[in-house]
Amino acid sequence: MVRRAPPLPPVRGLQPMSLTAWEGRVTAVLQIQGCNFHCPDCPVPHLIATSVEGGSIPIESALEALYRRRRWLDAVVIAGGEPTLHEGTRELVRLVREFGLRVRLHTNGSNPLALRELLDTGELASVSMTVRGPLDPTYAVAVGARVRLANVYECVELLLRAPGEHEFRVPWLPQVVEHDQMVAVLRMLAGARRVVLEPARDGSPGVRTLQQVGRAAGTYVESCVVAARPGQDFGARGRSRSVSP
Amino acid sequence: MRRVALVRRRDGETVAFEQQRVRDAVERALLATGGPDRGLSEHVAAMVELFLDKTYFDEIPTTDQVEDMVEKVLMDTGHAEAAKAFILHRERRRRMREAREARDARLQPTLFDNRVVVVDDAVEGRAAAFSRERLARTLSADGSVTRALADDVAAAVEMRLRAGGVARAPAALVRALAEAELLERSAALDLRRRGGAVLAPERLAAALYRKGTGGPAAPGGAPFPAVAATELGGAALRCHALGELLPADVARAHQDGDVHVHGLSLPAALFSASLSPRDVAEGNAPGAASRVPADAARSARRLTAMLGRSARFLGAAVIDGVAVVDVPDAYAPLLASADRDALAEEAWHLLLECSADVGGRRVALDLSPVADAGEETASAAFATALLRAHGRREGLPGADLLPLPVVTVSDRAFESDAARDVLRLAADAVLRGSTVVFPLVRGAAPAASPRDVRRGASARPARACAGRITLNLPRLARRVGRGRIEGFLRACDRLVDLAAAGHQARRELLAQVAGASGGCLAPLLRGPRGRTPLYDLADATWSFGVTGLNETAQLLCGFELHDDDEGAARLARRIASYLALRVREAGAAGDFHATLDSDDDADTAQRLFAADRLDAPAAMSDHFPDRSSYSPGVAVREDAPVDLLARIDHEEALHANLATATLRVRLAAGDTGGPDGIVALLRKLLRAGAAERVEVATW
Repeated sequence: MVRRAPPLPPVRGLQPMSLTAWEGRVTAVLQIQGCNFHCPDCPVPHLIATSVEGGSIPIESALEALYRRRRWLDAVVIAGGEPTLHEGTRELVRLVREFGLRVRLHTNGSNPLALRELLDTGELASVSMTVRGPLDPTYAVAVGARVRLANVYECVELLLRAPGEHEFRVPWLPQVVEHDQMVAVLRMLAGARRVVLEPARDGSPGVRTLQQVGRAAGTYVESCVVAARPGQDFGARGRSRSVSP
Repeated sequence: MRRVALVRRRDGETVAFEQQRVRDAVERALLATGGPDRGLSEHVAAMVELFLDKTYFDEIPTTDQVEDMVEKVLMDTGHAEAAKAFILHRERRRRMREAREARDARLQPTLFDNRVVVVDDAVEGRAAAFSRERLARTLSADGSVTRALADDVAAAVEMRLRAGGVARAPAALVRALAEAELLERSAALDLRRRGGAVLAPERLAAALYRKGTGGPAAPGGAPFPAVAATELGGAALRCHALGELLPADVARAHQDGDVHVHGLSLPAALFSASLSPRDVAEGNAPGAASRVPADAARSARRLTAMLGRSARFLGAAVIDGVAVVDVPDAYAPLLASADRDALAEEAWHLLLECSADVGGRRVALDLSPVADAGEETASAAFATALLRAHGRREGLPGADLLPLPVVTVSDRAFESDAARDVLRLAADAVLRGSTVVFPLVRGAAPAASPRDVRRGASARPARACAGRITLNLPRLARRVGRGRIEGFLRACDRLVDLAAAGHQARRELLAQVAGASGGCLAPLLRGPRGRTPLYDLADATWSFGVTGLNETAQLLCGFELHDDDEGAARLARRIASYLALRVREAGAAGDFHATLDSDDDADTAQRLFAADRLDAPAAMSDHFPDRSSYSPGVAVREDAPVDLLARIDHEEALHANLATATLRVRLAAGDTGGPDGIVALLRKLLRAGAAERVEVATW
């Protein structure tokens, strides 16, 4: 019996160029429909639903657009939604790699099995995982859904052990996570190669508070920066060197 | 049988009575009241003749009596409205007649008029007695008016001045009277080329008392006295250049908007020029010093002062701008042992010295560190200090007067830590609101080492662009019509020939100015005290500018450059390559170094668009209903619905046929992800693209 390849994941959006999805690289971002979290501050709530009622981009069109501009791109970022929910993500990564482009995966860390499979293929150049708080009951509040904390922890461990590039994005959720909990998150991520602290969407707490967190606990990780202030590195590697004029 | 045979006119002459004239007058009166009636007018005219015959059977009626009779007949036959129209018509004619008679009476010259008419020459700033001989000589000087006709006109002008009782008259009035007389004599004159340098009072007032809009940059919007004088002088020189310096067809093409001749207000100036601190240190730069001090080669501060003076001096002799090249390289030996504070101090002084004056030309400062082992560290350190000072702007003029930073991007910039830091700092300056230009240098290292280049720098004159004439391609495309590509290319030939003729005329002028002792370009083109001249006119380039290529493609094939239509892109490339070929041919034929360039000047694009809207309002509003300008150069339309990469993709393919073109990248500051994002984009442009120059700014 021939096993059919799983369908490619539904693409809801294509950002043709981004300089922020993977710092230091010119990328395009594929947004995959469907997420198992309902984070209260989700920047892309229209991607949460698993159905594509709002319409999706034919995957062929998205791939063709990527192929046509591959000369100008360093990489493609597969974001969500949550790409690991779809079995076809692996095939999508393979197709993009055939264009000669590197791939970064954005994940929420809820599906360690799929993540392990993807890492084992060796096709991922980088993984960016969002960690929304310390691994305690507040995590369920922060992601707006029931969550197996063991899965998140396993994903963190997977990435810390994996040889490739990784990045942990830690958004600050006001009224859910406090200063000490942010420090606890950095402690949990000890040894990470890169952590990006993201201010709350409404601007409070803002960059200055995050810089305090970075100063307090940034040395647990190699590189710790605040989003939108990449020149100031609070990590162990970057603390001695700043390029900001 | 005609009963009234004769009529006495007002001047006393007796002429034959013509019933036809009466009939025409009646018909016109009837026409004014509703409609002509040929039968009725004939009937009324016959009655007029009958009454005249009855009334003036033994005398000759005057014209007034005939007209009175027409009135009476119209009234008596019940045509009161027509009679009223006829009376009004008579009254109007009477007033015109009186005015003419009054004017003719004044024009009668007196027999013994020995008063002197003083002519005020405002341009020269002096007054002189009117001289018929001098006016006749001036009129016949350009060859289009014979001396006999000029004498006749000069006499008529003098008569009108004396008859008017004028004691003093402005030169502009004398000129206008002469031109009016020439027109009355149907002389073949091109009046547009005789505009002279007369500025309207409104223009003068606008330049002197303008309130915060337009014109050269000045703090607070109010014009500085010298800026106003420069602007007004420029307007006068523009008139002179159009009237006297350029060939008539080129001047007409500029005024009509077929081409745009840059720098008409500075006819005896180069378009752009570069300058190296080494030229200054060797005493080879203009305005630097009459004698180079012995320690100039050791003192960075002295070099800075002399460089600033030279840059400002050169700024007064160019139209577009001054580029100061090799800055960190030249300063590296002088600052090899300087600490960070000293570097910051020298950087601040250099930025201040190279800042533009109000209304002056902005300086582009090349901050690329040199690829020379041993001095690389000092060179990169000074470039870093310059970029930091530029970013801080403490104690420096505003951003629009500060030098424009230029930082070269090459593969080496990604291999050396020092060079990469300079690049990141330049990117950081972009994020802080500065505009930075990044030339992209691909391929192998230059054949000669920088030291060799430095040694040979004084032996080889620096390059300059001597002039630019931009072609209005969208107008040609609109006139030939969609799909007629071959016709468009043939029409381009005419524009290229026109521009070449304009360049030739300007070249002759520059050669003349450079050759004259004391000419304003002599310090640049002749060289002081037997030294090698800084610029060689024979080595200078002459630029043919391209603008509005996007709209040209749209008019010829229906698609703009950003549309995913291979035909539009192919057509644009074909136009660019054809023009490049034709420009090379024109240069070879005229024995000058011609280049095809993208004219990125937004003002030029806007002026040509306005000229075209005047030329064909309906067609322009059909084609471009919401536009106020063409897309400058070979750029994609500013509000085209495409992302940055697509824009780059569409534009940079066109750069291959152009000698100079700048890819303009505008980013939202929040979307760059910091300096690394901009550096990543530059690296991609260097390695994957073909553009040679990128200008990056944020919004």
